[in-house]
Amino acid sequence: MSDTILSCDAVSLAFGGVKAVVEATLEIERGSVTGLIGPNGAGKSTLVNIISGHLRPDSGRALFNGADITSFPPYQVARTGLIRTFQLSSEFPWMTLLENMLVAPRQIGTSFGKAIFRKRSWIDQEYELLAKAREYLSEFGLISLEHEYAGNLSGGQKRLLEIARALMADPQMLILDEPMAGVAGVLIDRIVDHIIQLGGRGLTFLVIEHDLEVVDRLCETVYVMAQGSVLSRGTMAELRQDERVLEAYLD
Amino acid sequence: MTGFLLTIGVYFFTELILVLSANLQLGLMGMANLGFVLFLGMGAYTTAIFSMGPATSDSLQHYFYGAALPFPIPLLLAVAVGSLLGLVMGLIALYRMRGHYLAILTLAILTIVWTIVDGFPGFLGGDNGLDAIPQPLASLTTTYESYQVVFLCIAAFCCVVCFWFNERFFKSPLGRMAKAVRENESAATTLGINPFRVRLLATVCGSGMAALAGGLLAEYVTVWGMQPWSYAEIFPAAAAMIIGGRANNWGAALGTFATFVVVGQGLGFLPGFSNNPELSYSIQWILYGVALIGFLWFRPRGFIPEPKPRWKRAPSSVIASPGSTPLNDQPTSVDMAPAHE
Repeated sequence: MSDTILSCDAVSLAFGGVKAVVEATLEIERGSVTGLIGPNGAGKSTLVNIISGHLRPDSGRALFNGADITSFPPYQVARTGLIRTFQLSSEFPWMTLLENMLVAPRQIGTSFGKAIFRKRSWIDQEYELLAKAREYLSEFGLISLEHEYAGNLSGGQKRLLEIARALMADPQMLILDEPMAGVAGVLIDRIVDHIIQLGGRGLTFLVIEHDLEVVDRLCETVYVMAQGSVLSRGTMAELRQDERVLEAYLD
Repeated sequence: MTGFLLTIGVYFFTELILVLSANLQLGLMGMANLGFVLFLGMGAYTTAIFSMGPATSDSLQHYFYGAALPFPIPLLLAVAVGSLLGLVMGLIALYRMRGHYLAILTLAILTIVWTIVDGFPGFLGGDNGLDAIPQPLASLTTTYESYQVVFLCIAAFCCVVCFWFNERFFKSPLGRMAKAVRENESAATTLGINPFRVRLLATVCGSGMAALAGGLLAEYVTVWGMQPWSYAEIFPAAAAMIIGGRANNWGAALGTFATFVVVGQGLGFLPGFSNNPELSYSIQWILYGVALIGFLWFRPRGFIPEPKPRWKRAPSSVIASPGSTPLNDQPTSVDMAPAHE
């Protein structure tokens, strides 16, 4: 393994008697687009919730860039450069697209004293970030809607906005939890193209996805989870030959 | 008549400060913090105690401590005490509570403090209240009416400061952060925002503001007791905010005018009401309720809805980022399904 950006080391978590994640171990290579597939209830989302700090594992560790982030609350995980999205689209509905974008970067003007009393200290940064937000919005084809409330977007546009918004935080890695859920045909292709293009620019992705055709197009490496544990790892072609994977999921 | 208008002016400005406090916490931040009238009460008591002088054994009222400090100091102390108590309540309530739970918990804290103050008359006067609270700068003028003008100026100044503060807060990156927490807390968290910090900030500032309103009211009316900060007082302030427009400070001003001035004071002018204060008081509450339900049903975002932000400087060239070509050459489909109406 050359350069690992994120690794999970024997992570386990049980809810009462239900073992949601059992000794899950995985390693994500920097700059790769990695897939995470498995049947419903396999523990994929739980594992992502552990990585992002929403849940704390019973045992095991998560390392990001070599630093132990297991006990970090979600906002601190985000500040290390690891941003995730949710299965349900999570725009800020009563905020415009530009406002949505400007929430993500860390800003001088979020400090209390500067926000109230020293507008001059943050206003230039505000306009720099505004220009950057507009660049991303035009790249994602949403610029004509910049002053629209995000709640009025279609399901696919919301997904695009979420990815664009995450980019505003200058992340090193994005974890996308079912980015194609509720997205119609043409926009799926657009989202796939964006992920491939961003991967080409060196951004690391971990994508949870049910649509195996999409996974095939996106990911070199794919992890398969079933019943809480990581069953197998390989390319989609390899996994299609794997007896255990076929039995658990792929039929 | 002039005296009456001046009185209404003073009430308008002090109530608006309270509504601005609610607007910061409930409107912008979306926190169901119903405890804000608690800080109205605490601010009033702080102002009274620090301006009335030490309690003497032969006076007819009872309270602890007591000092006679000159004009702005009791009000400033009210803001400080209010903010500090807001911090304490925020640390207790905000760490784990959200939504309904926060509403019930803050209501419970209000009721507990209210009952304690009511039950220990020696502490803050209890049900007898405090009276003869000195009016600030009373020596400046000789007539009643000219003093009203002085007080109107004080109240207006405080109100403008609070309004300015809210505007700055709402329109800064900090305010945007608060809005994001309101709209979708988990999404805000995964973008690196610590929601607890933002909530606590809004609570501390809002509490200080409510305390200032309380201090002004006590100084103006010169008496203070249990009634003006009972849980019922949450209602008109929240109604003013919702009617005017949540998270919009001009809306708060309009809502305050509609509820406290038009409904609260205007009823007395109607024939049949002028000699029957009890009737007009009851009708007033019915109108608050009807207006609140009507607005929540037909115009939930209020009279003047929350504004979309505008950035004044002209956008620099924003056609496309230099390093990347836009992937989509087809025009964006604008399928605007009104997802939430």
